Amino acid sequence: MKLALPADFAVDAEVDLGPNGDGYDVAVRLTSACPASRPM
Amino acid sequence: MIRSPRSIADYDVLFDPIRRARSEKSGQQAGDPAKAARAILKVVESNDPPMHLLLGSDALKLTRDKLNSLGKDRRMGIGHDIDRVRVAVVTTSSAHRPGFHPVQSLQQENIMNRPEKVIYTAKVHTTGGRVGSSRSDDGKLDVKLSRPGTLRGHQPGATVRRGLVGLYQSAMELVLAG
Repeated sequence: MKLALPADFAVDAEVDLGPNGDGYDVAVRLTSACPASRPM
Repeated sequence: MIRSPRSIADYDVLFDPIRRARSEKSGQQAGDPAKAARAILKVVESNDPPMHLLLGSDALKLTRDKLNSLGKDRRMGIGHDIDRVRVAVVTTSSAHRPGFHPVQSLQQENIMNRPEKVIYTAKVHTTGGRVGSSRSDDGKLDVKLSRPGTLRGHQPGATVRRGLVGLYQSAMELVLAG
């Protein structure tokens, strides 16, 4: 079943930067909010 | 050490210092041949022999010096691996409207790596997908988005490219600064 994303579909992205050993790490958190959707 | 008296004159300039040094060290070496022989026999009889056998303090020193040399050069080696990125995705279905099928609630978290200490966190809220808008929590980024080839708004790919180029330049500055 194919679905259409609703207009209020939203994504919150948080990107952490910090050292880890000899280098740096980037940690990405993506929180997707999809309140409702309907069949296409 | 017993050496052959024969030598080739053309090589004397090069080899005389080497022969002299060897003669001076002869019988003065730290290594004990009997102990070395016992160590070798032990390795031969072992079911799990080591890949490398270092015999004597001089061999250990040469190896340690080499490892230290490699350690000093490590700054040239790092920074070329693919970025270790921790990605955690949480998708939720929070409202059901008549006639609409709610998306199945899905929670998924994939953690590949994370910083030991977070020194900076960027937060961005995006709605409407490729034709929506995106705004950072500090308000410094506030753009309308558009699909490639249109003139209405900002293209997300361009922002990603600008960010990556900025990170690359910062990395180059760190490496060149030693």
